[in-house]
Amino acid sequence: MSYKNQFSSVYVNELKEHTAMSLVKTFCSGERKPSQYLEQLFEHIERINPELNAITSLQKEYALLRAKELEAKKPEAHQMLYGVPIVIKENIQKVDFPVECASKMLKGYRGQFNATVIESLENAGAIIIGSANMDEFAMGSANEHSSHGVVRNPHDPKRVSGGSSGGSSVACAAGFAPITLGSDTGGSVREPAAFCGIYGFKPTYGRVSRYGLVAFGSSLDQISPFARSVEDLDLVLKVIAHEDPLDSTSLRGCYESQIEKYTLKGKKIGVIRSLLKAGLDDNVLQEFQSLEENLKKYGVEFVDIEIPSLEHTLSVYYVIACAEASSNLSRYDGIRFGHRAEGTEDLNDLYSKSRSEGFGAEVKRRIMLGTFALSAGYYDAFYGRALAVRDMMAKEFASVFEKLDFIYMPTAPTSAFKFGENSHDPLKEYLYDVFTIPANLTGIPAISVPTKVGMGCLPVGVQFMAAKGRDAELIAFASALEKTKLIGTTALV
Amino acid sequence: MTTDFSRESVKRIAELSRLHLSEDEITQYQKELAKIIQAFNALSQVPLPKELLGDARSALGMAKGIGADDSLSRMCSDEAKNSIATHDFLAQSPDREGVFVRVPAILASST
Amino acid sequence: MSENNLTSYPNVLEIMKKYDVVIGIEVHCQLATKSKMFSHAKNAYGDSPNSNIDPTCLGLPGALPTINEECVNLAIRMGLALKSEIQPVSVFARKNYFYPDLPKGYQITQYDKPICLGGELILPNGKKINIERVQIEEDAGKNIHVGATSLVDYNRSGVGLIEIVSAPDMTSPEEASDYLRKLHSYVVNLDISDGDLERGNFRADANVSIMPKDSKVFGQRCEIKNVNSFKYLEKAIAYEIERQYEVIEAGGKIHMETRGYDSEKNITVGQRSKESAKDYRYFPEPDLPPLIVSLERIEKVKKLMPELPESKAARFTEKYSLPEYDAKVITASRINSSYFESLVTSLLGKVEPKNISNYFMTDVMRASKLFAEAKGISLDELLEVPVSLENSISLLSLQASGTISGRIAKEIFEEMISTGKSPVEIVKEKNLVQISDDTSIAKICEQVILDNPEQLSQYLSGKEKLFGFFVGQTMKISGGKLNPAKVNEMLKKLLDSKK
Repeated sequence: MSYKNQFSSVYVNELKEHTAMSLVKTFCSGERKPSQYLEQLFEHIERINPELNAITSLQKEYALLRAKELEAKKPEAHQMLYGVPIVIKENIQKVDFPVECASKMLKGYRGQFNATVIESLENAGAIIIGSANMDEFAMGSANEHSSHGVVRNPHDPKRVSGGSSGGSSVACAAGFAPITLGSDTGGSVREPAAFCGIYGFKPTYGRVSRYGLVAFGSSLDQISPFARSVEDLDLVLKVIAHEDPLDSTSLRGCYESQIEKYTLKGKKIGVIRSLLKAGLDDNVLQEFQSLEENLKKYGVEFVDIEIPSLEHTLSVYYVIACAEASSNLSRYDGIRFGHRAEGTEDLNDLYSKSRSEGFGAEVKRRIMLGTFALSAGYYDAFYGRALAVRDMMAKEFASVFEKLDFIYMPTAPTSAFKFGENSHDPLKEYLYDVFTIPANLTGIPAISVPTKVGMGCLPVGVQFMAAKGRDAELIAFASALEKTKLIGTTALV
Repeated sequence: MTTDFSRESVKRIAELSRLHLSEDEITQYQKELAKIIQAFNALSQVPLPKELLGDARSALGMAKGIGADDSLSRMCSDEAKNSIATHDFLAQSPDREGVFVRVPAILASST
Repeated sequence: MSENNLTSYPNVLEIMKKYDVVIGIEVHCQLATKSKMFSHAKNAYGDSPNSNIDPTCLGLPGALPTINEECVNLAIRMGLALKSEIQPVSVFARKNYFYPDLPKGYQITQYDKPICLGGELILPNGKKINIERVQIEEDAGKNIHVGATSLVDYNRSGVGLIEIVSAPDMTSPEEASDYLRKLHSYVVNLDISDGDLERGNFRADANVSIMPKDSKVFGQRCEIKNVNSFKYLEKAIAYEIERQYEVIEAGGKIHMETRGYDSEKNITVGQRSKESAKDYRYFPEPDLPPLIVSLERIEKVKKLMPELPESKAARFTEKYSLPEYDAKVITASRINSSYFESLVTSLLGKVEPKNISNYFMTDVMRASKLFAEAKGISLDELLEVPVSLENSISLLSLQASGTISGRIAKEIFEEMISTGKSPVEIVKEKNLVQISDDTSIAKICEQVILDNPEQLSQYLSGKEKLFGFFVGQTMKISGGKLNPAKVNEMLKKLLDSKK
């Protein structure tokens, strides 16, 4: 499987020099100035983004102003991301940035306050250079449902980027920024990371503040970073993964890195063998199995496990996600901000017309399903039931992690597919969901790592999950794995 | 629970959601919702362990399972802090009058 | 209303012969905290529209709720006062509906697991009204209707509320208003709320139904909303009972609906009800963990709680040697009891509390009643005593020092409340200083005796009762300015000397 790629990028292929870690060193030592770096970076972005359509709004003026501000002072110890350019998904609030959530409903809407992650990043010296494309209101898995148009995969522009954080994933993969932020509700960061050949990490639910993240599924959402090295993930987590008094669901304490010393030997990893029997593309199965074999050589032990409640993943997820979404999206009513329909007869008309005009079909569908699931007569059978089954699932995972360190599975059953080529194969569709959704349902941390595919081959991502709260262990494990060179960001060829 | 989803029911859900549906869309949703009911019916057959039975309508289940562990009982002190200026708030309002947001007349009380 | 009388509304009394009246009350009470319930924005009445705002109370995309500790404390305080069971774990829920003053499209409230369950409130007539629950929720913004549009102000959006739901235990309009008055006095006296009805701090809805006397089945109820006066709500309930009676007697059916009250016509009016039943799609609020209330917190709230009116009354009776009735009246209102205690403290050593209480109960209460009547509100809706503290202190001091007599003091009081002038000013203007020197008193007494020879001879021949006549004449001539004790003394002396 080989193809030609016109987006070969220095920023990606000269990996060592363009990671956040090395940029911070370069800027702090005075070897380079952030503003100079940005000028060149912007050239690169402006040349490549038009076709990929990853960034929907490049904030050059703002970024250069920030750079000049930083350069006027000496870098301080707490500025761990000094001068580092960052791209954020356009569902994260930042004052004066467009926060359109790729929806007509919020066309022209500009941020009215800063998300907590923004405050943290900017305090740490980061420079937010723009907003990224996404699926409308984060609902979708191929970034095909966007008011800004589709996002293209830099490894092959005829293929999807994955979604819903397609723009952030491509921005990182194509070298627009070493670290980008997306949001993961049912796999929306891990899946595009796999499709684009980079790292995508979903923290334990509550580990990163949701204050300022436009809500989709409140009990499932997490702001999640993309990067091209595990060290960069570790770095950004040190900055954004901490308690937030503005988010009542955020966990106490903060992320404490364990990346320094970590041994692979002796680690026990569970594999749900039954999920791998059918439906996986050959290349995915091959990468999955070969990594497993190679890891055994490092002394890692693999154990077959079963998690019976996984069978209900989809219904539980769709009930909960749609129900919460239907309520979260009620605030888009054309009253205080956003799209308001014209020529309406009365208030109810204003509501219905504004919302019907503003929302795309997929969003409307989920609102309808969610309203239905919560409506009188169905609550106990649907939402109430789903909550209980979800608890059961969490318990099953917790008991697995009592004996095992991690769970290993593919991130997606295929690599990035071509536009319009959705297989409509129910088994494949089921696997897409069942691989990523459980981590959101149970709140456990999960990471998609890019396997070392052959030159010119499509990226393949595999996934590791850990027990709730074990974010640092998971990152340390991934870092140790990266050091073996068995995994690594897929080069743009 | 019937397998047929009536047009009336679809219209009611659309009204609750404040969404306007075309006749075609209503037909489409009749089918979709009927399919969903079947899928969700399986959920209601799932046997649950004893400690998870009973009152599913509360978030106590959530408390035992996911997000709310040591973040329980998170309260803030009573200190006033306005953080958006009137002007900044109203700047993005589709229709305003002075310092108010303006909407068409509300005919009947909703609650 | 005497104990035998069930109600003072004659029509309702008549109806009660055939039907039982069933009334339940829901009160929404704003919490007197500095910031809002789930947001940090300021909680204040009367500020410029849309100024007390933040992302959370505006429902902006990405905003999240937090829990105001003081609101929780006040809810616990209410529960303690009502002898409710404070729940160690309670849950917030979303109540979903669309309305311009509800920015998120849902209200965060409590549904099946509120913070307080059960409780009771004893009415003045001794009857116990059961409380079903007390729950914490947030208020909505304000809609102002202007012609074909509505203007929306979000200052009130997110302000903390407690909803107190009674059992349907009240059986007459008066019981309902008694319940409200008592509950209101609790929230004001316990510093839970400002309780200002005009400002909407304390809003009551009444659910009214009637059922045939021997029936076991409750009648269909109607809800009366948006009546912001105790007296009016009482009247509205009375009217509603009559209305329902007439419908049923005529063979009709009562339909569940929301009704408002027209105070001019004294009728309840049906508001347009929706054809479909409301479906609020309640579900637990995913952005907030369950509310955990520890025993420590409950103890702390108990310690810091202001006195309940009942215990205050008992304390006043003992400490100030007040008659029970006086103590009850004074302590029933926060403003009255603090006024009274301020007077006692300021006049310590000069005037006995019992005398202060007499003054308060006769003069000050009368002034309050007049003031309330003039404003068209009920006594318990007054926000302050209409007689200034300084003036009361001054008046009582002047009397205690003998500068003015008791009778003059009453005159001065009248002048004081109608003009607002201070007692000192009035005494000066009208030259009302009490005459206490023996010379002046002797002069006047002698003159009176001289002017009434007949009565003198009668008195001297044995009609001792005529002493009062001489006292009366003396006081009359002197315009009440003479020190009465001294007049008595002087007259006695002079008359005795004539014997």
